[in-house]
Amino acid sequence: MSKTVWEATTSRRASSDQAQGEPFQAGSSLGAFLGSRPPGPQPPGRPLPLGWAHLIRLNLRAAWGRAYVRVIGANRELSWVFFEILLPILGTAAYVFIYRAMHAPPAYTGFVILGGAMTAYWTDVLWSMASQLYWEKESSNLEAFFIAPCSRMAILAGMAVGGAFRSTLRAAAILFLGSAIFGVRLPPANPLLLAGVFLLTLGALYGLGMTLASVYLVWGREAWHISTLLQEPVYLAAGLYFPVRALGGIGAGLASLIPLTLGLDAMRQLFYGAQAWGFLTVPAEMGLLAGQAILMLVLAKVSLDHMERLAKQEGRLTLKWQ
Amino acid sequence: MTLASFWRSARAGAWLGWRSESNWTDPFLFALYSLVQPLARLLIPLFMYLVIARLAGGSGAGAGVAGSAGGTTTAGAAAAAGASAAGGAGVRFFDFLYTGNALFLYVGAVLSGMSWVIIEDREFYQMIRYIWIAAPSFPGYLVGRSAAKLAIATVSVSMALLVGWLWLDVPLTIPCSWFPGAQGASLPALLFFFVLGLAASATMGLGMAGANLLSAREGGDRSEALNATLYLFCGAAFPLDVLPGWARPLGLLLPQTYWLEGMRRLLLPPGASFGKTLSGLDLQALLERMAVTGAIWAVIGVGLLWLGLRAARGRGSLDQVTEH
Repeated sequence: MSKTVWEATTSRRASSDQAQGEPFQAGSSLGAFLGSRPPGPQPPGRPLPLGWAHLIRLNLRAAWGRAYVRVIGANRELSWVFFEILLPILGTAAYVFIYRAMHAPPAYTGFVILGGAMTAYWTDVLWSMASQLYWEKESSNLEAFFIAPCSRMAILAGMAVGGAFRSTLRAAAILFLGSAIFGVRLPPANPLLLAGVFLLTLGALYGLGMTLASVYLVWGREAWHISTLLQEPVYLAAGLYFPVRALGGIGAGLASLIPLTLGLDAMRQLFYGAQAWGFLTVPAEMGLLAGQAILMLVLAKVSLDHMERLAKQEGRLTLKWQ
Repeated sequence: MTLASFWRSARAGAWLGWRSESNWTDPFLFALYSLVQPLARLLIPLFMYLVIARLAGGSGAGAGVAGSAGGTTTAGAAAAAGASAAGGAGVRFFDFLYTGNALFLYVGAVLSGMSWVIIEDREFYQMIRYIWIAAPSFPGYLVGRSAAKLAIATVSVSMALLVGWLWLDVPLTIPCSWFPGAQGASLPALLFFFVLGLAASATMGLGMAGANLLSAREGGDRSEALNATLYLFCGAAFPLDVLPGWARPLGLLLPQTYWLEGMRRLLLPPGASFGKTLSGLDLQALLERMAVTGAIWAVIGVGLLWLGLRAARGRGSLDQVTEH
């Protein structure tokens, strides 16, 4: 089979695009640009007819394809939706009752419900972002990701956008049900600032998820355990159920490396003002979150390339049941 | 199924469980993993308590909670502790909270551990068919597999209680006498309570394992949901009185409620019972109620496992790999 699958595929796609009126462009091939072409010499003859417009469209399609499973597919299985909402509500309820047993001010019920809603994002980042490539490896889908002619970053971005959408539905349900069950009304807050903090938090959080996903690529069973290990200790460090300032200056400073910490602290301050016992001012926390979001995305790309190379070198890229 | 075959399967399951639980990493990371997660779970309520103590008594109160000498409480801590019906002399609400949370780690380990084995062996390692063929007693194998998690939980709980005793002034007292002392506390009573409570949780775990035989990977979520439900209703972190009126009877149907209350009374000084719902029951009454509710749950749990096995074999789905 001298004509490779890769060549056949790209040729077919090129002719399909030509039929749709896509301009035929010579130049650097998509495969070479993305680093996803199979190893070996470049087949002689015509260069791949793929340009920037196609490149962008291809990666957007890949991102949407990966997001679709989470935006649409994950909501089709109602038992999943039910348990993904029920679990955080049960946990949140327990912490609300602990505060009630201590006769805490009502604002603390609000703190817990906000924190409970944000658990939806952290569990998603851990189990559906960080661990995802590990899952794909275990279920033999990872090979398909690697032979696809799109960027791996597009796949990760699709996972992140889809996961953020899915988690937002669950977080909204937790917020709504938690508020209804415990009679909490969140005080009015500046909607623009709140949206800004929320989006920055998601950006930084899912950027972290993308970075972790690449790290998990080389892991075997420890991936599962590391995710378990990162769950409750992060609930503690991020101050999901109490103001993070209670950890002290150094503790809260270290915990601020997790985007959830700053995001939640800023949101609490926006809702509850001084009662939230905030760690830093809201503008400072927004600035740090923006920095974290950019840093995490860059780190994700660098880390993904490195880990992929490492996994290939060690022969662990598709090795299951390690 | 004889007792010998049950024991043989349990022993093999325990060995396999231990290998599977511990050989994924080096001993240092494994030790860290076994300690950090449960300690984090315990420290969340501690910081919640500190925050409220600070509110109640100014900035000095929080320090007082963690660092009060000899278990004496500051004004802030006492305000926070006293907020939930008075405990006995020298016993703070925090002691109640901390001990309950530490012991509840066992419930999670036994219950979730046993039911998760089904998902793990069927979906991830795809070896349930070989276990089914080889193990003379499937329930025995499940019990054995959870023994490894129980061993890890024992280390975690022991460390947690030690940290509480050494640094957080939790006034733990292990009854060393063979004969009943104050409140009927004795070493045999403690051991009996402990083992019976674990057995009650284990039978619930068998029931969840039966349910997981008929579900895809989301069965793990159901086990977690049951675990969270038990945590909410069994008074692990707060007295049952704090629950709304309709929810309290649910707590009284759970053997873990009596187990935790009894264990607290055996491990903490007299007066460690917070709340009125269980304060009228002495140790013997708690034991009786735990035995009765535990027996009911045992019938349900073993029945669910039997039904689950029968249905899974009937459908041919015992070794299905759902991939979702």
